[in-house]
Amino acid sequence: MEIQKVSENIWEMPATGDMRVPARIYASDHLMESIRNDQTLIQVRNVAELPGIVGHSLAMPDAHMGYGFSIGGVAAMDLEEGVLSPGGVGYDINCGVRIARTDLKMEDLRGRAGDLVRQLFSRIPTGVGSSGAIRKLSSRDLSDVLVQGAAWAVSRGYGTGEDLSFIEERGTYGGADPKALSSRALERGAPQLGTLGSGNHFLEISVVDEIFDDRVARVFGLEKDQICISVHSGSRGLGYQVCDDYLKTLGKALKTYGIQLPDRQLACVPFRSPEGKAYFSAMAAAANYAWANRQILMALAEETIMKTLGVSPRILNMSLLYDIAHNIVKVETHRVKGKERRLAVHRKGATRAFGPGRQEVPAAYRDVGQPVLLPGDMGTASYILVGTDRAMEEAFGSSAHGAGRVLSRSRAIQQASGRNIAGELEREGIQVLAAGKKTLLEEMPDAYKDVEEVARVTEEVGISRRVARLRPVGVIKG
Amino acid sequence: MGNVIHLEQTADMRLRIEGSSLNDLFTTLSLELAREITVPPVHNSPHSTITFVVEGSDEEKAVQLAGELLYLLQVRGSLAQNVEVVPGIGSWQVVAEVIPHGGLSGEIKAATYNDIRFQQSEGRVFLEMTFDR
Repeated sequence: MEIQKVSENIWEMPATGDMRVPARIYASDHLMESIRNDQTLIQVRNVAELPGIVGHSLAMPDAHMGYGFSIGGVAAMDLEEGVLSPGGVGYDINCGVRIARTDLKMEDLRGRAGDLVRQLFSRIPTGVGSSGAIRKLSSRDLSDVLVQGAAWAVSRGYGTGEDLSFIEERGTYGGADPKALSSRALERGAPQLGTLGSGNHFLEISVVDEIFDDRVARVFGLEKDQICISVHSGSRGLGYQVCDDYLKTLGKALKTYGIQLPDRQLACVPFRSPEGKAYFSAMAAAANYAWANRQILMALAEETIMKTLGVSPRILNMSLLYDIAHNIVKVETHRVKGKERRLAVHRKGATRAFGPGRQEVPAAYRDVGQPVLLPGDMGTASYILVGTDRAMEEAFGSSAHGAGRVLSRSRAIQQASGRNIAGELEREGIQVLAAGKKTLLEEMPDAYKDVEEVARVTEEVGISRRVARLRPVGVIKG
Repeated sequence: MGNVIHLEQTADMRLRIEGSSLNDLFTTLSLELAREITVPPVHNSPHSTITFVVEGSDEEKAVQLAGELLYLLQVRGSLAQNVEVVPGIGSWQVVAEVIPHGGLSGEIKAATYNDIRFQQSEGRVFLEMTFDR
């Protein structure tokens, strides 16, 4: 495979064979070593063969192998000539992150973090061996969740209407149609709303330990020593089922549209086709479920913090900084070769990173660009960055979404053998509780790429700029 | 009883399973999936039988069958402890003896086609499959 380093941290594959566009990978030499170790580059090249792709097939600094598309993959398809691919979204539709800031300082948690983590662990259902925070939804309520998204949760008392201004799409993706979901997807979704999920999903208490950009930090309402709360979760079994169902449906439809693929998990159909419209409606519904889910989880966390610490809403003053989707297709307008085009931007394990001036960015942040949330592993740090003009010019307004795994789960378990991971983290001042019997071993910090390097490379290539670093204080995992 | 090995796979779970028959292979797969994400069942749990059909190429049938085993585990709370596969033309009829498991301890999102390998010969069936965690 022909791959050239074209400048510091930027690699390109020229369009050869059936590739319609070149591919570009943002990575340091060190990050590139792990990217070369699996099928990531083959997947980035395969995506470049999809009908209607424009610009480059992109891989972000945290890229690793996925299904069809790599994780950390971004591809923009022309709306008229291009395709829509469930593999470009992934199984966990609208898996995403939100961060809320508070008025608490580290001093307010001194000697109480352990108790707070225990209370959060008891109050926030993981969905693994537990039921949802809210009763199993009736089919009517589930249908409303799928159409209204986070607004449904707010209407039921989870958070406030103000939160909606700080969620991509205001937490309600238009075009959602519950009828586009299978009965099995609905069956899986009904009992799981308000659950965190397992694996790399988490709820984290963290403290702002470094500010890189004072001006943007002020706009984002961030200051040193401030306590923040992060939630990483998605559309749970409902989203997994939607992806599974539509990979089958679209796989069967390939012949109808004469589409040849190098990998069946890239199954896709024209965006405007009946099958494309059906998948988009189902994906939007699953995205709405995920936004409602994160809204509920955050409200449960807020209530638990107030109760455990004995503080009033005014003292806590918890407010949503931003909620971003990192597994989704968005219809967006971008300038390509000097011309504005309507595109279906597939981001799979990649974050929207719109720069200043875009209407999609909340008015409060529009002058500086949108917050880009980059969670790391549970032992090091997470970053808040800001979107840039360069991301708009080069990467369809996209950036990295996390640290990305470097060790398989089985190898992580081997390396953690004989170690007390929770004890090691506690000595670093981080309280951790997990529901899954092996979660702490599989998710230990060594299993992930160095988030510091991912954040640095992301900034050096100019697709986002660091604003603040958050250090974990307490983590609960499924 | 078949043999199962966990292969190196960065983010998810890749299994290599060998059995003497389709029944052996998919029973082994079912028990391994249960070992990964459930608490063991209570002794003397009541048995029941379920039947379903999977269709398509061998690879498609294998992915569908694995997907059904996951659905049983994660949505229905049932462990298929004996899986009988009755091959037909372009389809397999699957008869599974299921018992309630002891609860979930983890999650698997889906069985995938990623680099799937399926081989069947006299007295040996082989499957490599990746599961999205």
